[in-house]
Amino acid sequence: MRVVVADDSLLVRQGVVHILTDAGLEVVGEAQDADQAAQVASSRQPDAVVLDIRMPPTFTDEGIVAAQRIRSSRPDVCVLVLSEYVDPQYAMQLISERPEGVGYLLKERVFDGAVLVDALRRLEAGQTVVDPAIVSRLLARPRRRDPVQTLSQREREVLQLVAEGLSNRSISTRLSVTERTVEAHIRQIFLKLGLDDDPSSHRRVLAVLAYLRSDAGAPGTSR
Amino acid sequence: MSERRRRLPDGSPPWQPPLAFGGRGSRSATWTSTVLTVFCVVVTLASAAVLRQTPAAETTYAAGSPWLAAVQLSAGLLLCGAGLLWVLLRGPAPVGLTLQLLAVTWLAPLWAGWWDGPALVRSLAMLVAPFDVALLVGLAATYPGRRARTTAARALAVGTYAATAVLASGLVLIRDPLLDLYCWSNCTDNVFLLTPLPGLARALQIAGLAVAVLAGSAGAVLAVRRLQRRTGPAREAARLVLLPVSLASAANAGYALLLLLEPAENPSRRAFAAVFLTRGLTLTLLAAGGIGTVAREQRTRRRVRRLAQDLAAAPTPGTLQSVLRGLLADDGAEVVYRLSGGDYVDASGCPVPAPTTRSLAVTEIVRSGRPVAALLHDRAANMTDEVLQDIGSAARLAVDNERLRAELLAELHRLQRSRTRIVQVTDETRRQLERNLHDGAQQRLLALAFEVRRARTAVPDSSAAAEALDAAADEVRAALAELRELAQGIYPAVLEQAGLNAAVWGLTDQAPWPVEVRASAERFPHAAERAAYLVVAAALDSTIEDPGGVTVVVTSELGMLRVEVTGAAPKDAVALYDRIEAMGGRVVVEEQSVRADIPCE
Repeated sequence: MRVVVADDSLLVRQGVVHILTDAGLEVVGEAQDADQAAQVASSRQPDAVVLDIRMPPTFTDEGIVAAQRIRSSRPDVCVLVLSEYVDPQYAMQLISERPEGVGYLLKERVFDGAVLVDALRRLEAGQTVVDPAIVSRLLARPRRRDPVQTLSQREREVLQLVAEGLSNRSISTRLSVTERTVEAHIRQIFLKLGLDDDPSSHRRVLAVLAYLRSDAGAPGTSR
Repeated sequence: MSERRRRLPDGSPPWQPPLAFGGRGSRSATWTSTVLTVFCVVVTLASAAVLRQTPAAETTYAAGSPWLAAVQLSAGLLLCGAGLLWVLLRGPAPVGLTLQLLAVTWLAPLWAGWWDGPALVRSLAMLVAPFDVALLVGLAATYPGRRARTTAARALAVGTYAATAVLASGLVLIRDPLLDLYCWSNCTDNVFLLTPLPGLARALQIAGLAVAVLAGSAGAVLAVRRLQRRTGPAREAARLVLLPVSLASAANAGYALLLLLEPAENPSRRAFAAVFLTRGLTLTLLAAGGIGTVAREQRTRRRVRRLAQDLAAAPTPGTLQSVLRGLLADDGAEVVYRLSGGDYVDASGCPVPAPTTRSLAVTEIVRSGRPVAALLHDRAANMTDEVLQDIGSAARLAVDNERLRAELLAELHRLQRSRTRIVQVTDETRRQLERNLHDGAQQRLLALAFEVRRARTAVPDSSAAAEALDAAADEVRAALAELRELAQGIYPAVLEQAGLNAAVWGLTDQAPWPVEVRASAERFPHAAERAAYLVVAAALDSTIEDPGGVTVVVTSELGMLRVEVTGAAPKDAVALYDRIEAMGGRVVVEEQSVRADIPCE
């Protein structure tokens, strides 16, 4: 797997490159800012680009903007944004266009090398990656009349993994159950939450996140 | 206005009028005026009597026609009256005395032609009559002050007076009326005669007429030019007098020109009668203008006095300027106050440029010798010293009140600006701190984490080193998480990047109870968004167990961002008051709610 790494911090960039090469991935290019990242992404033909969210010049959300640019010009390239913000706003902004092959991970996650490599593999398989901390935070959000509370323990686990962007097969592996069981759980969850979307589609992650993000069940909510 | 800067008296010590024309103080001027008035009345009454005695002979215009007699007598009386009014009501300005002297010179030919009158009276009348030209030129050059403002005008006035004095006095010394070829009104008497020199006398006569033609024309032009240079209320006020002065001066020039062309003066000839009539009417007009000017000013002063009572009784702070504008009929008038540091502010405490840098006339208001305020106004003719004095005593209390208030307001504005700056600087510092944490400490911790990870891969799984490295990795992870929380608390980056709506949602994610949010995705200025964010954060941070329904509503209307939290209120709202009031907004905290209106400028 050919990967481009973009981060303005040399230390972090080298760390990420080390992890990737240790895991047997091929780092075909490095970039220090968003423009350079887009340039390298088009010239080196990578399978995936790992982007820091904060890069010059404004050190705010350049990574997300760059990710969207790369995705719109090269839809086949996977993009993983590494961030220090746990706010769901950024993750949802990133995956809202087309969730397949797009991921948002907290930066501190990546020094567990397996997580980074696993995320890239999942993106390559067309899945979405949303950091577990963000999903946990959304799940824990207090709600007035909370349908999430009606879910069983196992259903909540499944919902968490769906929101993180895992496929049914990945969920079944993670929970050591059969894929059929996972499908049954998901159908049950969508029924309980009143979600209309196709449980098997790629966009289900968006539907679930939007549901969790909203003040579900409360009257007069604008979003 | 002879001076650009004046001082408004502060009541103590008593204000003294400036030097009067021809003497000190107003007493001698009033005395002079009274004498002149008695003289005028006597002269006019006597003139009427003289007219009755004088046969319809050809020695005066008035004796030949009742119309001309009416014009001559009424113009003389009106000039006298106008002069008297001026001296009595406007103080010892030279204008009043000039008007009275004009009455004398205007009536003098009547006396010169007194049939069988006393020789001394007739001779004196011949001497003073030519001075009317100089009096009018002087008025054109100096009105309404006592000094000509340009060197040219001063030279013209002084030159005319000097030339007239020399020529007229020289003429009476050598002119023998019996030998005067063109004599008509007085062909018998000259008590001043030293030596009859008929040729030279004729030359002096011609020179006098030439001076009258030139000076009269110049005076007419000067009066008009001075009127044109004025603007606004000042021009309007001066027009009443300067226009008649110009006309009368031109009429004098015309009269002298006619005499140069037709040396034999004859009242029965139409041209002479017409010129006489014109002169009489223009002088009548001048007298009326003088009376009108005095009357206008009296009106102003009456208004000042009326307002003085209001101002002295209950001066409403902030109204002095509009009161004075109405009073002076000058919409551009301003009252500015001097702060102890030397800066000037208006009544609302806003800084204004120093008065000396402005193009308006400045009247300083002093207290114990120190300037405390200034009145900026058009250089209008009705801003006489008397009006200023009235204003000075009337506005004393109002000026003091307003100055104190303006000082307080200026201080308030400074504080307000300082508060705003403090908030801005604090925000900027926190923002910078947040960035530094991300770009400095966090990057180092991340690098450390990578190093720990690499070291960990180099040691066998079950060794003591592996255990220590795993523990170290956990510590780094915890440190990174804490650092993130800290940075978020110092300055929520999401607020700046994604806006108030997203940031408020982020806050409600972490609230201990459900929060309903109604907020538009609209963006507002950073400062307003941050203030609103802090209101919500403070309210949601309250420790109420179960508030039973918390709602956050963010709306905007007419440039104001309104954020309202019901069901929870901040424990300590001091910081919110500080911040939002510094922005000119308002916070209302109640037991179970908080509402803030934040201006978006």
